[in-house]
Amino acid sequence: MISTAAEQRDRRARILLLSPALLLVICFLVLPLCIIVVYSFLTPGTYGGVIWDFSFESYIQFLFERDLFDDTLVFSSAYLQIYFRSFVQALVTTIACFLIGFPTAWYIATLPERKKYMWVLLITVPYWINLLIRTIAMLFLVRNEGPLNYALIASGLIDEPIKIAYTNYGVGIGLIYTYLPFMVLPLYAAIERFDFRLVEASYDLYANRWIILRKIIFPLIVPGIVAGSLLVFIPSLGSFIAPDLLGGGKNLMIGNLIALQFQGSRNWPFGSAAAVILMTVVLCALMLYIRQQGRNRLQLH
Amino acid sequence: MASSVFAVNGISITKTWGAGSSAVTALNDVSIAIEDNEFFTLLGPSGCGKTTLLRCIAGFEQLTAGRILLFDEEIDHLPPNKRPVNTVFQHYALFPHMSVADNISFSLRMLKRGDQEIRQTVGKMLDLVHMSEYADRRPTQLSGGQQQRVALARALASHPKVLLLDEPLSALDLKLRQQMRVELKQLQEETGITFIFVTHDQEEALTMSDRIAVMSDGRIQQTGAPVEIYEHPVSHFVADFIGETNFLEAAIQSVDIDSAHCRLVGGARLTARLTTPKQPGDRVTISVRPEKVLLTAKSGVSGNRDGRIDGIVERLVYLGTDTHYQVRLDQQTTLLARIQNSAESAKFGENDAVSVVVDQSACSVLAD
Repeated sequence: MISTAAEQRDRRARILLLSPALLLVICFLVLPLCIIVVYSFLTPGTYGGVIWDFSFESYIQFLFERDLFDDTLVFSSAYLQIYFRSFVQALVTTIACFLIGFPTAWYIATLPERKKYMWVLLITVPYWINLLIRTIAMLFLVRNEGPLNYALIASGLIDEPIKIAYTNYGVGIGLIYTYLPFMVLPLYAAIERFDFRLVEASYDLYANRWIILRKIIFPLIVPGIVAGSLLVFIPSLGSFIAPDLLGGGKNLMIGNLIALQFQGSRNWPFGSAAAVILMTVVLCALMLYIRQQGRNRLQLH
Repeated sequence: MASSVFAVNGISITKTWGAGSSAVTALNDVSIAIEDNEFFTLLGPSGCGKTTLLRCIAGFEQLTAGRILLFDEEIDHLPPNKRPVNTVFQHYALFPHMSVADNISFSLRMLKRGDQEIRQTVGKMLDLVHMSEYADRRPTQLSGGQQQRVALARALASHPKVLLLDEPLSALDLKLRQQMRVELKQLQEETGITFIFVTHDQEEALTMSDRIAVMSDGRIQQTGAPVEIYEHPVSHFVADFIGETNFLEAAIQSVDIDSAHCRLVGGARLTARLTTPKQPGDRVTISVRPEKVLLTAKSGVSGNRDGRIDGIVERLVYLGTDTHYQVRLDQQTTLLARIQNSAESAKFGENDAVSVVVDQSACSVLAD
């Protein structure tokens, strides 16, 4: 193909426009990722850091326990359980965020124009305060001696405080609270684009409210549901602060496991391997989804 | 009339939005009786309440007061999905994630009809609107006219008792619009379903309707056959909204059964059709359609005979098939005459003295 000078200039201008972002991504995303991947194949140093000896040990350690005496490998599901637990926790968080977020997003999207922006702004208000501080505040709120339990006992509804802090429920509440806006905003954007005349049309054609929701509204706001779910699920899966503070670090989640390897355990290669495995699983799932979507779209046409 | 059952019978329908001083009245005590198998048009400018009335019949709006009967059954308490009426929406509102066939079968699936019946009906509907080859397409892959046809088929599929059409042609270009008018009328005759058609386009209303209700300010101004509405408007609004017209100020001199002898301000005498009760001596306005008048050279006879008004051609505009003459009758009054440019029609120039000949059938005394 022959490209004219004008086309070349055009292409150069485009690359120039992109270059700051590209530079940033290369320096602070691609390079660190490469370091993590490389580290996961090295040997841990005694006091942290790595020794430059190539080894699969970190990945072996993920699935097997090495016998102290005869070095045989025994399958161990301890780490898989952590991943599974994190996965379930993230899934529950995503579903809960959707159930809470959908009515909220619907409400905002159907408000008059002027009020809409006020509400969208309100949704983002929590982000004006540091996440750590918000999570600690949440901890104070739900702990056994906290105002929530105090109020419930004082009102006579319960005799014993409900254990929320330092349980999986506490972690769940923390995660939902943290990631709810990530669900609400994409859902809001999708619902805002939704043509409400379609609701009238289906209502007119003998559909009841439940069918309208299932057959008309949900299929047409799928992009928003998917975006919101990804934005909640992926960070929940690797979240660190909520499990650490609200879970008390009792039931390890992926985030805690990785953090532990770089702090107490001083096993950087294993921490890196845990991160690489998490990333690989998420990326594979995403790619499968995208390919499926592409196939669906092809079928449409 | 007592024995016939109306397809739609609206009784004293009032619809207001808001409350107190900011309340807006969209429909003000509207009563309307639409007969079975009728192509009925609600015609009026935007904001006249015609769409609100349609939405009240469909069930999208709750009545503030009044009742709506559908074939003698009260429906105003029912939600839209329980009313056996369907709507063709202004912008079609086709389901973009469904094929044409799935759009058409939607209502049948909601009504839990059998697969066999659904398949047959969809086939029949596709045939009816000449869209058989497009059954598997998505609405976004269709042109405006094709989407229009699918919307019609979708609304007709469950064989509703009444079909409501909310300005369905307004999004189409002129050529297509003219073609769809014919098709719509045919469709109504083939299916035998009562059509209630909302439009602001008087030409659309005149060409398709069996009867027209002209609306303004939340009230029905006049109901009647197109000829009736056009040739004998009862009010300023109807006369002005439908086609061009001349308004002549006059005083009634004597009244017959259905006509009134009037005297214009300039002294000329006219006999005009009378549909509202008036007394001799009343000051009235007479509507005269510009294409119903004739121009002749001024007769030698002095004074004005009945139906003949002298004037001077002030301006003329040549329009190909017609010529528009603006004739000054007296100091305050001019009259527009639209004369067809046929071989035998006389030609006049500016400042020619002419006589305007107005037949009784061309004049209507307006109620207001």
